[in-house]
Amino acid sequence: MIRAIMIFNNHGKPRLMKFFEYYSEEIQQQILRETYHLVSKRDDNVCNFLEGGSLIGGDSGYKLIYRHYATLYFVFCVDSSESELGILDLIQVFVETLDKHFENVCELDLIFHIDKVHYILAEIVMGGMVLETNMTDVLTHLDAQAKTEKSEAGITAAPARAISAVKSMGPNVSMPHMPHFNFKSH
Amino acid sequence: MAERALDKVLGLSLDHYYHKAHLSVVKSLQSLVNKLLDVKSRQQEDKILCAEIELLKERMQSPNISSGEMKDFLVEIIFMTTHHYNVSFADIHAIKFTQQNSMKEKRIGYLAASCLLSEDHNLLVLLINTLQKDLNSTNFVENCMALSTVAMLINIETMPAVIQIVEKKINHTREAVRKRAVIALLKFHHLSAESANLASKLQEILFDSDFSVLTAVITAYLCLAKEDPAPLKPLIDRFVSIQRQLLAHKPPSDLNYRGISMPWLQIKLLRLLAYLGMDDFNCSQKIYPVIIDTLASIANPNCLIEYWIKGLSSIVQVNPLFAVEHQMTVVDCLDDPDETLRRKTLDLLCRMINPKNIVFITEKLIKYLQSSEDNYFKSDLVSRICQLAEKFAPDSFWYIKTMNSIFELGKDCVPVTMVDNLLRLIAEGTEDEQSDMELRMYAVHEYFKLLKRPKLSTLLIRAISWVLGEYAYLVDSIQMMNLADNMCILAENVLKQYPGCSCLLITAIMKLISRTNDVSDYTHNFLEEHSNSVNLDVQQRCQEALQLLITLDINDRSEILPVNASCEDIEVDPSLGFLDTFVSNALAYGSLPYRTLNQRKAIPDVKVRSSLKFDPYVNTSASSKETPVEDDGGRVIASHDYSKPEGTEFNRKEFNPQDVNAKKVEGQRPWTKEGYMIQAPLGGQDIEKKAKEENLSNIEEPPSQTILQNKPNYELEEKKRIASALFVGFDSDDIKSLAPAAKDERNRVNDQSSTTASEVTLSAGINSAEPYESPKPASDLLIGDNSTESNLINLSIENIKITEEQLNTNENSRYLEKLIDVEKNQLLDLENNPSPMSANPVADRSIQNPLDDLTDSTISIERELFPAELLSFPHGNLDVLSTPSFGKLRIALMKVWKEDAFIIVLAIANQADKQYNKISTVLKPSSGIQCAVNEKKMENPNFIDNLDIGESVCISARLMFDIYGLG
Repeated sequence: MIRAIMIFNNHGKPRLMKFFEYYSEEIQQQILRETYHLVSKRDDNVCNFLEGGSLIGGDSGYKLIYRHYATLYFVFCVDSSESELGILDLIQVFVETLDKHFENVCELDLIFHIDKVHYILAEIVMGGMVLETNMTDVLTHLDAQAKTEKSEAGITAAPARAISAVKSMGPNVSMPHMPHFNFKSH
Repeated sequence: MAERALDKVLGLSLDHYYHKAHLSVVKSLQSLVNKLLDVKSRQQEDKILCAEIELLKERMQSPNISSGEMKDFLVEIIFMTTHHYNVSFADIHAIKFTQQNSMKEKRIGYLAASCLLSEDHNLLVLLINTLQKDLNSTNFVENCMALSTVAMLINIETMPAVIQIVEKKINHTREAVRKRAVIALLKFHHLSAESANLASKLQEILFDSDFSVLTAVITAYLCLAKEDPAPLKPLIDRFVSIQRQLLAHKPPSDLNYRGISMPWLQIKLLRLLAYLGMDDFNCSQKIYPVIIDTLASIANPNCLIEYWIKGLSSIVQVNPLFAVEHQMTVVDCLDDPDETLRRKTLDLLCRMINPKNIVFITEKLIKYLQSSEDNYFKSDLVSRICQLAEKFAPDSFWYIKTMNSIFELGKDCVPVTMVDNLLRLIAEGTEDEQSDMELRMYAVHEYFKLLKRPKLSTLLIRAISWVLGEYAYLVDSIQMMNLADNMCILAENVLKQYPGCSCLLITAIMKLISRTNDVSDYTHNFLEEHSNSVNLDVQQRCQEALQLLITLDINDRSEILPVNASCEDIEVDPSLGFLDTFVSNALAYGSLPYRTLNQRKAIPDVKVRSSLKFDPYVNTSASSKETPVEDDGGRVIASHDYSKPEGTEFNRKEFNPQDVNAKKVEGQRPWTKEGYMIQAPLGGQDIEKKAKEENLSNIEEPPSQTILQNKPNYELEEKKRIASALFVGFDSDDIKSLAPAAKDERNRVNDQSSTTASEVTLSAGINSAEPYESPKPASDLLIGDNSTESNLINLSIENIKITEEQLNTNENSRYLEKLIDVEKNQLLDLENNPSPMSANPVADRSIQNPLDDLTDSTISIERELFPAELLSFPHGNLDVLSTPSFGKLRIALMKVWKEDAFIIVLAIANQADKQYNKISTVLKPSSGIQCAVNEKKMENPNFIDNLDIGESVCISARLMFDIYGLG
């Protein structure tokens, strides 16, 4: 099981924090700092797995599996039930998905579109379990959702405008019923 | 590589950041981020974020807020949670927002809720209703959102409210919902295994056609198998078939990752199978084929074959037959250019080893050992081969041969204990004496062959030297002479690099010698040549060998080094009784009895404590100033440099007894082993003058002296005496030559003690911490008897170092006392050196001085000479200066430390049956110290007109530093 996912930059600034067990904000901050110190000191050519720090995993045998891309570190903290190499490739899938979705992802995408990063992650990891490992599937599902939202916006926005127009006409005009759409697009 | 490309794009800075057209950015977040990018310090950033949070709090609570605005605020809140800010005020807004009709807004609501809330959040119940509604929704996107949130947030209390709906969802038409439902059920299982009933639900969709759903199912089964694999065993065929489907690339090709179909699912399946096959032969039998196929599927690319080999070596432990099927592949791998692969194959071979193939496999391993450069790998391999060789060795001959190759190839990677083990095997053998002998003969043959090699490893030399030394006699074809010569050659060759090996070889030669009389000249020469080697071990062994050859006949030799007795116990007599005669003889000759370590520790040995005296006897600068000195004739007349015996020689020639006939005694050591020491004084006329000036003129001169005189021509004689005191030149040669003379002198003194007039010069030097200029020893006592000839005895006491602090404080007096004690010890130590002054004062006195036997009781008598008032202060040990030369004149010196001063007390008591006249004392401190004699200001020399029989006098010098203003 994945216990935590952390993305932070070369200076230790968090870009995404996702904990699958509860930690207070303060502890979260300490975990970030500790992990940053553990990971940032490592050479690029050393192993991508290491024992977790004292706050997360040190005693429970959790491992930190990380990848370093330009300015960002992607760190997954996992317990013994996960395959390290599997997680290492999962990080790659995650980042490639981000790249596909944002069309050349950069650190600022992660800042400005934090919600979207969360959505992508939610497609890959759910409640600490690996949900999907296939980039195509992830993107397809994301697209489906986006489409749903878009069509919803198109449909719901027009009647809303119409209603406001009707409202301004006077109190005696009866409101038309909104048609019910089932967004089963795919 | 994709990673490289990502590396590039992820690194773009804000300057390069373009607002991607298809992505709308939340405006308020953008402005916040722009602000944050400008900050310089952490504090500044903190300030901005806190202000923003306050603003958000205020705005979100305002009633007239559009859902669009709220959505933006929640995105900002999510940003805040990433930065670990407490934004719990937004919890309720997030929960409310999940109820939005708009999909986009609902999604933000759920996301914010899963970021803000936790499993034990007290507002969680408010979310349940929305979750139920969304789970029941016909919109699968809503189902997915709800399921994801359920997996994140549901706790054991809220679980019953949703569990049934979630269970239904595993039969949903959409795979996205099904897989989420499975994961959610797995979460429920973690919360409460009984109520979740995961296993039965999983079985419903075990035959799901969608592989991403299967991934979730297998993930769940893996968790179950970890807990208890037994109930899952009937499903093994299904798992195997899934794996087979994957191997057959049944899933659509877009599920491939790097050419492998769903590797994550495969990992999970294989792990699952591992749990199921554990400790279960039948299950394992079902699993093996698919594992072999899996290995085969990935074995195509060369880089992956090592995994295959690694896997195979694991399988081999379960069932060796599998490896047999693939033996050709294994053999191929052995010669593969890829080192990792070869190593893995060796690993496999080590696991495959059995008594039948050990010979072949060991051969391969040794071949590899030969070619490898990696020391760590080598030592690992060596220990493995040794282990296997010990376990599976077909016979001892093979074992010896194998071990020899290991010793040769392994070099430093082989622990020495391996050699010992082998030798033990040869020596102890089995119970069958016949085969043991054969083994030994074989070993001798082997090692004799090896001996002739030009290069041998140290380990081999170890083995060779022992085996040949012990058992060479077993083989008739080997000539002992020839063997010994060969060993000598080898020992010679390795002597420089490995002297330890040479030692072993010499011992082996010794063993050969003990069995034969035929020793070639070469061997003999070798032993003789190295019997004085710089290496003490080599030297010792060569000497022993030579002794064996020279002094003992062949029978006795074999008693010392018996044949084939390496396994017999050697009895050691710990009482060392055979040494008793030696010890008693030594004791009879006056040796000290042996003291145990504890005794030695309890009584610190002065001799051991310090063997060096760090204070110069004479000031070197002064000596260089004064010596050599030229007399009127331009001749070098004096030198008191110890190393220049010619000075004293000159003195002996030059000074006739009339002129100078002084006795010089250093410290309390008038006695040496040669007898009573009398030192002829040195110096010519001008030196005497100089010395006189130094001695009498002024305060700057450090030594203080007491001069007893009972003769009118006091001054002239005094000069001579002092001159002789100044040049205390001793050398061992001088002493030998002077010894008889000294005896004469003593006799003379004894004779003179009966005369009424005798002269004694006392000089007690006080040395401050500063260097002083006198070439004299720190303090000395001059006693001259000028009635007939001038006899001078120089008695050096010790250096007394006084620093200002020591003078000032009473506290330090103890330290000072110690210091003096130590220095005395040093002095005593010097006395035991074979220097001319050497003598044990107490012993010598008791043996050689019948006139004046100073025992402890007499010391206590002399103690009475000192005023009791002074003794109440901390004081040093009493120095009894009286020597036989003084006759019955007792002189003692003591140091007393008062709070404000250091006092030197000189006590003189006349216990002779004659009167001493005109005793003159000169007490002079070194510069920087003020001195008052007898509580008066300095008056030097201080004359005591006469000292009657039985009378005693006390002269005390009070020394102070100038700061006391006594000067």
